[in-house]
Amino acid sequence: MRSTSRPALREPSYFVLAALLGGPLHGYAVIKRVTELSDERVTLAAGSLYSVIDRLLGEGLITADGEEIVNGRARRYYRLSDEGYRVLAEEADRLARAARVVMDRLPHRSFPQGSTHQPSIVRIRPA
Amino acid sequence: MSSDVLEKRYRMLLRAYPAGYRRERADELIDTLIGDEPTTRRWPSIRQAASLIRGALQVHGGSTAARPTAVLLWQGIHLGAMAVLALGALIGLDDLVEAFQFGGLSDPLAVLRNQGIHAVMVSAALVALVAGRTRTAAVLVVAAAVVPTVISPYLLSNSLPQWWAPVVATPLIMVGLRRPADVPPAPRANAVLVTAGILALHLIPAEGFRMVGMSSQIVAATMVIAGAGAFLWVATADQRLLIAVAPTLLLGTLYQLGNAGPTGELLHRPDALPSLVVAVLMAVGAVVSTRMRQRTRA
Repeated sequence: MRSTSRPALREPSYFVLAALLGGPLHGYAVIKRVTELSDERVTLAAGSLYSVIDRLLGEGLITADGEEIVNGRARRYYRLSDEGYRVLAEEADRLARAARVVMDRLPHRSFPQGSTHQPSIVRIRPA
Repeated sequence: MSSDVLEKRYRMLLRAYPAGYRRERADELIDTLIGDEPTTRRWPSIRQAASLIRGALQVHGGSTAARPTAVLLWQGIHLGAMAVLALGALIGLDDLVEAFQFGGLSDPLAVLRNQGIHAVMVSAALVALVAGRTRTAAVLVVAAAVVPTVISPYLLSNSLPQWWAPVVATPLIMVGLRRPADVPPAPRANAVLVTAGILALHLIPAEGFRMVGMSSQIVAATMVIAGAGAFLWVATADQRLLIAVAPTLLLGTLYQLGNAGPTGELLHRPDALPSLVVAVLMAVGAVVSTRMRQRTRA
């Protein structure tokens, strides 16, 4: 099923990459965007965010994209690299195919009572 | 104003990160922590504080290094040697004090011959290792294993854990001499802190489990759970600790083997074989998972 031998992205890494799809963001904006994209399921604390950023930078999936000085402090922006786009697209495709396996076989599209919306099909392994 | 106080407190927390990382990232982290929105908060939230401390531990453990597995292994081995020697020195000094308390003053020279020389030499090797004099430490640790035993076989014949300390530390220090040039040594303050943490783990009064009283057992269980939980919280972030703690647990196992042989006691003592097996498995797990992460870091 996998097109490459690359293990699945961890959930925080996936959403950080997804947050940067819209263009370069600084740390605080990444946290807000990740919270929004994940329906508040993934709320990164600053220490966790930078652990993820360090890993993604190390693997070349994101790159630093300039700095500006705000309130006397350096604010660094990050953007997706070409490799980051490729890995994120591949992961999204893998998740979609994995979700389709289940969705196509569900007898009725009924969801638990009290559920306000359909469960996300983007369920990936926890961090 | 409150944001200035908050920033100051965040900067205090950021001191947990290595200096180099802090120089590079402190401003950016503060910017992310404070955010764009006005705040009346004066203290960092527990969640943010815990996240920063774990982040700092991960950086200390080599997460941002070019070769995280190499940092984990080499620094873990170095810290393991340091922790073994520190534990050996601590047990040796404790036994020395006890010997003087219980009749040793009648023949202080015998006590010093039996235990004193060994405690001094192990302590000297530890000081050399902490000072970054690895070659000197290698010479001293070999001397600490041989010289006191030639003078008095007391520690060896009783297979006391402090006798095993330089024996276990010797190969670790020797291997540490071959550390690749691109792997930095563990910073001294950090190494001392890690060693103190491992010693604290050994000071948990787990022996209370073997007492008859229910209250003693409950206290022991609480201390063990709290201590092990705190250790694992730190060690799963800075995984060098998982490697460093394993050789210290070897001392208890060797002591048991030397005194009772491979009996059931070896399996029942919390400071002997069971802990050693768990520690070795966790150390192997740490190396394997770091290696896998290094291949696909995200």
